[in-house]
Amino acid sequence: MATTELQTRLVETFHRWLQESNHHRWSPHHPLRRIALEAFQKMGFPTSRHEDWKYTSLAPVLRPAYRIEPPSPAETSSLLSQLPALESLPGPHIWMLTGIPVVASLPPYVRLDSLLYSDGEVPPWLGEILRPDAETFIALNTAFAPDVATLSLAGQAKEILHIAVVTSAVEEPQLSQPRLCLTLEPEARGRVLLSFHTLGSYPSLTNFVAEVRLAPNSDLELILWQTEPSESFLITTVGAELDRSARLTVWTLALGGALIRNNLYIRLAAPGAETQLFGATMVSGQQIVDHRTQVEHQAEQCLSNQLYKSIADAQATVTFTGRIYVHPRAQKTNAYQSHRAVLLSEKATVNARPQLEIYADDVRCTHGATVGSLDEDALFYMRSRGIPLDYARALLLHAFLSEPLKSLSDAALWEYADILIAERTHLQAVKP
Amino acid sequence: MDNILIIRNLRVAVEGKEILHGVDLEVRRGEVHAIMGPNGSGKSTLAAVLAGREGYDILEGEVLYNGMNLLEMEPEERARAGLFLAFQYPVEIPGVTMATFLRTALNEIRKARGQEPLDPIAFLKIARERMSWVGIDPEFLQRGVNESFSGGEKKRNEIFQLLLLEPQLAILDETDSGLDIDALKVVASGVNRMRSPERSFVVITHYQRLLNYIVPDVVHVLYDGRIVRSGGKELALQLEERGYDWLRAEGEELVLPSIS
Amino acid sequence: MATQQDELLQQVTASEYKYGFVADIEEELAPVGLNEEIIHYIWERKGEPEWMLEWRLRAFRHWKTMQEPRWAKVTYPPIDYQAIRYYAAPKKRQVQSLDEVDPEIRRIFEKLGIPLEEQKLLAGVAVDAVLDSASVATTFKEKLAELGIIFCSMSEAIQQHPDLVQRYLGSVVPYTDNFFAALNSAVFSDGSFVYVPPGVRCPMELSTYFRINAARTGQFERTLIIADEGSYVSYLEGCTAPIRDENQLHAAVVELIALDGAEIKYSTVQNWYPGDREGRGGIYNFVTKRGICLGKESKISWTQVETGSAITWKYPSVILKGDGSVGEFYSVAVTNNYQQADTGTKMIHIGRHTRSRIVSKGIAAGRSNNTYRGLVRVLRGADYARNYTQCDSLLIGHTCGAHTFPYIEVLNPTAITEHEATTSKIGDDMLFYCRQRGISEEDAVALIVNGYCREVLLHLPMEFAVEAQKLLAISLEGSVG
Repeated sequence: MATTELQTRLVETFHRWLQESNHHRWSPHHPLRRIALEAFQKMGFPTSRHEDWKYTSLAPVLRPAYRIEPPSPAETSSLLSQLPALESLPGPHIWMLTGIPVVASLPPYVRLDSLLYSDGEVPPWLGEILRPDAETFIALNTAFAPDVATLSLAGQAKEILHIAVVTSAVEEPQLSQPRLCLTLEPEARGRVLLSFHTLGSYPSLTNFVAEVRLAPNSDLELILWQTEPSESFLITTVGAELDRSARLTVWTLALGGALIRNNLYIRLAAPGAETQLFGATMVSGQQIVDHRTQVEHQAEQCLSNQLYKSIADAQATVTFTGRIYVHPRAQKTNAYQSHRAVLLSEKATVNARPQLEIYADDVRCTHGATVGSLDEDALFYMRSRGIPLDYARALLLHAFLSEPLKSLSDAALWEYADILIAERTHLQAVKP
Repeated sequence: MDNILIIRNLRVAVEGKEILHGVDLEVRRGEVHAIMGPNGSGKSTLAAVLAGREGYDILEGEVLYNGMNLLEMEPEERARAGLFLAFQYPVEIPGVTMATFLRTALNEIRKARGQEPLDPIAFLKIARERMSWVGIDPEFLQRGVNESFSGGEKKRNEIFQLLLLEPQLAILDETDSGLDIDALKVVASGVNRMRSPERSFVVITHYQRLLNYIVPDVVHVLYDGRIVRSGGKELALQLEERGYDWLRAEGEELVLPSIS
Repeated sequence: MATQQDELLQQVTASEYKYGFVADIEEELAPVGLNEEIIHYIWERKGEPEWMLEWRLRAFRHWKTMQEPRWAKVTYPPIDYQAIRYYAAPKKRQVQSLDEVDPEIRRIFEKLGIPLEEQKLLAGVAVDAVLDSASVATTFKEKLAELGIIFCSMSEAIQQHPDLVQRYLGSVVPYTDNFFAALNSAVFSDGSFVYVPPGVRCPMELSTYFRINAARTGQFERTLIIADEGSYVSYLEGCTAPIRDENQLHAAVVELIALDGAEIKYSTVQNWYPGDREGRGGIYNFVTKRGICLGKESKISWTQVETGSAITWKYPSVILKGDGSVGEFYSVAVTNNYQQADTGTKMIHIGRHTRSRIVSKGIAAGRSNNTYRGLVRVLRGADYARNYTQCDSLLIGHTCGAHTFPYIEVLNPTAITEHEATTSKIGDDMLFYCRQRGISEEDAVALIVNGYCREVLLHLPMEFAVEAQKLLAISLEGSVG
């Protein structure tokens, strides 16, 4: 694997930090960070020969001369005055500003620990759900994350906790490495919205990593909101471990960005755990969105269900790789997965790799993947009722793409998502 | 005593929950017994235990079938010894044709009876004949077992198998459920055709309707895991009129001995 | 009842591999090992023209630069390619007519149920029999020749039809394709060759029977089938090997070419020795099979029933180049004990209105691993391409694994691809229903498995289908779950 310039600079920077920093709790001297750096050096940035990156080239992502340093406290405070307006989304409770967590307001059921707020200890389980040696971008984030925001949710939250992840590249290209740890206490119920944004016109790479622990009977709804049109690069990795009868639902809305790679690693670690993963993706221009999910059934009687829908227009590419892994002891597993894609242009591409790896016999597992164009019969039916072709197409696309988000429990968020999808499918523009 | 089936104090649990609390029943050769009872009274549990389905714990009691200890026999041994269960929910087996399935079954049973196996031609002849008795298209022989059969077709198919396999004791588990009156008549005529001094039936049903067409010798009421009342066919009419609730009012001490 | 099932589970295959005998015939053996001298040796023994030597040496030199592929979901100790013998052939084999076939060789094939006397053959099947590295007998040749059909051993084709061989050999699977294809190109010793002239419908099934006999010997056969415009041919392939403690390597290459309107149906019942219950011995089956629908409206259909081999690594594929061409893949793969199978197909849609259909049924028992791996690729120009894929896996017992790894790459907006996969076990309710009708548990499993595979078995020629059904039952004996 060829060593890229970025890799060399990253390693040099880390060594410089080692010399400059004292041994505070989350300094580069932290053993986990040093292990992570070694792992990163060993793995390097993957090329398309790497099976996990077969369809998505990182070459354009690694090209810009990113600033690696996180913002200084002074820069962070000046950033606070130029935060983006997030329009129809609920006002953020926490900002992650180029990796630095800043609190706007905290609901009573949330506890936040971080270097900035409590000189906090990083949680002892950091790096356990997402081991640094598992993947390059996890290693990179673990070695370089300037802070670790550790959130603990207890009780029955009704409102959405909004965390806005912002990367500022106003003066130069910026590499941002936000790190989040999220715990749901037993019986707790929470909803977390993670929205992704950039500032400035320079290229940026946001390498977001979150580890999520769900205690018995807890229930988390997680929404990944990636709708901002921009030329930025975004890589997210969310690893979750579910204890007995815990539930995790994840919705991903991917509409914006030059390149998005979302990794979701879900471990159903105790009986009765349940996860639902939904994704709606629409790309055009030269956009690339690459979803990778891995659901590991480690215990008996767990359920997983995945529904992803994608539309690729112009020269854009959507890739979906979903793996269901059933361990030998995970009897009575139910696992379902479906990826449906529509290609709108002769230069667009869809790749799908639905994968089943199963070692238990008493299971019901299915996956399906389709790629196609719009239903001609439905189009014809609508046209024969006098609906113009353009509008009929938009109606079908809108209905197709919004299906995975229908289960969003927050009505306002669902409406906003629906509007964004309508915009992207030109529903209003072609309305007769 | 010419009892084909004797059940003594049968107590059965499913997943730790006791369903049958001590069932006693004697069926003589040539008799038709009806077992009636409300939902959840244990009717289907009794049928499943008699046929040897897994997942039922026998807590106490015994079942003698032709003098043999039925509960110690494998399901296929019971079938080969002439015990037949018409399933409430017949199972679909994709890709296995009815012809293959039934010829295998019939030849296994014939072997147990000391008869020669039937070759495919002889099998088709007898199968077609029996299908015509219950109005099933012979084309069904080339379909997968119960595969894309309608509810009524599945039930008729069960009776066709009864006609083909000629058991000594047939248990009909709610064969009437979900059937319209015409289908019900077809099912009943199939059963009546098979009535003989050598063959016994246990007809499990929720409604009296079927018993207009298959007239039972004895009617039992299964209630909360016990047979609480036994009588002649008029008992079924009484139940039809008054429902099962009047039994509840009379309480648990209403256990009567079977009238053998 | 549950413990009883566990006991049954442990009883594993009651019936032994019945083709496992070793025949004592005089064979000419090349020295063990692989180098350019060995390639010269093979080339000389076969009396091939100069261009074959050059081709073989190019393949060999390329092979030396390659790495053995390790991406498949199979594990095995490193293969020592210098410990294998690359050529073994019965000494008496230059025969003019079938009467001259060595009686010992004839006995081998009779024991396998493959009589070589034409009059004894099932009507409508012509057989080419390959023992170790050499073709020993081809039946019905004259009758086929009357129609202009060439059916002979590969060695004979190189001598008699060099123009056809030179034009098509390596045109579908070039020696650069993969490690095992390169190895095969360098050392292949024989195989079958078929050419069906324009408009001719081959009136009988053509069949090759492959048999490994010699110890420490690899088998590297090469098959080339060309169906000229508007022709049709159905080809069958069967294979067995003796029981040996060591692992033996089989690395074949099959190339199919269908011109305008031609149809090739290729059926395999693969029953190489699978190794014993502890996983000792068995054939490593690393095979490259690929067809090209070169002409418009042409069709290539692969049907395979894979029950043998310790390791199967095999992806019979179709390149759909001609407009309106059709590719099909129907597969049953059964693994038991310690067998490992990684098999599937590739459908490459290039032409417009091309269609492909994939039906794969995997059955895993014992401690085996059974993987479907497949690629459906629709290129930019493949307007209105259609693919339908159905992959089902059945697990018997809880010590085996069943895996599905499809790759779907679509670059054309008018294409439609559908992939569906399920993994399940044999339902308790199905087993109970069968048993209530008097059918034993073992027979019920065989019955249900055969029903599960029916859609694939229906695509086999009749005689093969019956054989395949029996094979399925034998492969799974004692594995009730």
